[in-house]
Amino acid sequence: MWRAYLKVEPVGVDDDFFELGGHSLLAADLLVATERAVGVHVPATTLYLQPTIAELAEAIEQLRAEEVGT
Amino acid sequence: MRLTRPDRDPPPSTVDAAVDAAGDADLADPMVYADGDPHAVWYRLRRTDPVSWRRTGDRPGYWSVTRYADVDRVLRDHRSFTSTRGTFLNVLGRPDPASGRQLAATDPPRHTVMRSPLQQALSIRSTADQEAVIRKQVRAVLVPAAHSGWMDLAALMTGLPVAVLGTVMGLPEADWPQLTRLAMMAVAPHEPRWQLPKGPDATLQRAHRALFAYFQDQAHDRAGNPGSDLMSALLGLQVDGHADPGAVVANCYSLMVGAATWPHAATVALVELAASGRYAQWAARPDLLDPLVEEAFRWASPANHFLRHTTTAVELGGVGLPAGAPVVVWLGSANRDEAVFADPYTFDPTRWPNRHLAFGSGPHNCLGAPLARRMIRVVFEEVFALVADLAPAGEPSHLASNFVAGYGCAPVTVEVRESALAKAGRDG
Repeated sequence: MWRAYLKVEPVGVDDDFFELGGHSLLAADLLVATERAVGVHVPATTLYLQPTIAELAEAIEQLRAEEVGT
Repeated sequence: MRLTRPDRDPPPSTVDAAVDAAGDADLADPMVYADGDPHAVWYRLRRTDPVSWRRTGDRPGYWSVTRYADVDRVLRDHRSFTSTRGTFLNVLGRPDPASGRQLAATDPPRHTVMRSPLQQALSIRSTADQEAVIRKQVRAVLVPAAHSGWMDLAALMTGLPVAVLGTVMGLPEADWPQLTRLAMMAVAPHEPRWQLPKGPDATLQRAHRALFAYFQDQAHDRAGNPGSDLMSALLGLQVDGHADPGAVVANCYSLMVGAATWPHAATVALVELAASGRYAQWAARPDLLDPLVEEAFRWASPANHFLRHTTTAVELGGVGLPAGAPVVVWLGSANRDEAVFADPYTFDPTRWPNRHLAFGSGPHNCLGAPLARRMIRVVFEEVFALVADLAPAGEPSHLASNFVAGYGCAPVTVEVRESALAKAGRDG
């Protein structure tokens, strides 16, 4: 998904979305697509503060766990 | 930005030397607005080189446009001068990511379709209800400051746009101070009072990301329940008939940073009235509020420049421009053009008609203008009702920004009206 949005290859799990050429507008689109794909809402502040795939995946796991817990 | 009067001040005998000294300053450099004299540069350019290629150092060059008629033409003629390649100097030389999705970076006819619902929500009629809200916000900051006998007009006004727009958009009041700081970082990242330790680029980047994230989370929280007409219009924004989350946040952002320029109109006008010793005279003339508001915007021209690109080879002011060329129009210069304004370097609260370009012109004229005018008018009404006299209490400092023209600090001493003092005494 990041490859499609950023139009760069390869993308590593520790690469920073913004350093790869991502900008704020693209981040908005990416977050909505992420939400559709993984089924949980990822707050925008998460991507801005944790802009790598590894960090985002961890945040999504946590969000999922919280959803199950409630 | 200094608001000098190059035709009188310095005196005519030395004007050529002074203007020549300032004449080659790089108007794209934010520091020129903090320490330099842009009005002296524009004065010279309008006379000798109204449409000219400017290039300084490593910065990408651009065509600089200084006369009213040419500025107006560039802003109106969207077929020859496109907005889709960016509208501010800070994106010059690279593609604007918001192209076609942010109103400012979109050309008609798509622009017209996107703009219409927002224009409705921000019309004169729709913003009439906001007057009481604006008045409450103005009083909240003005009354305690005025009673202290001294105030920094620039600091006093800084929070107003977010308070007003935040109310219209229904943003939580607890978020306003942070939004104000972020908006100022975005419009004046070189300004020491807003800059982060890592420098102007990091400041701008941080402001962009934080504001986009903020609006995105707001948009998510309000999906299906926008809470206000303006938010509803923003959340309903579509691009080519499709919902577009990037467009929603990009336009929320545009409104916020545009509004951040408004208060400078009131600040510089009040400083001008105070410095000329005519404050008390004009404060007693409520019949002049309409022309005063317009003259405040002309005098301040708080949005300083816009960028366009030529779509084709085109002639402008007798100069041939190639296709694909960047063109920068200077609103502050257009609004001092001797060909349009009699005695342009005089602040004249009776000037009417006053067809200034402070809100731009053509399809992209400021969407928030009705709200901006209402806000500045209420500021004048409230200051005039409370303050008998104002006097400068030191030199204002000037914001380091090529985008927003205004004071960073504008200290004045305040003499509160006896009637207001008596009322404060009664209220305890």
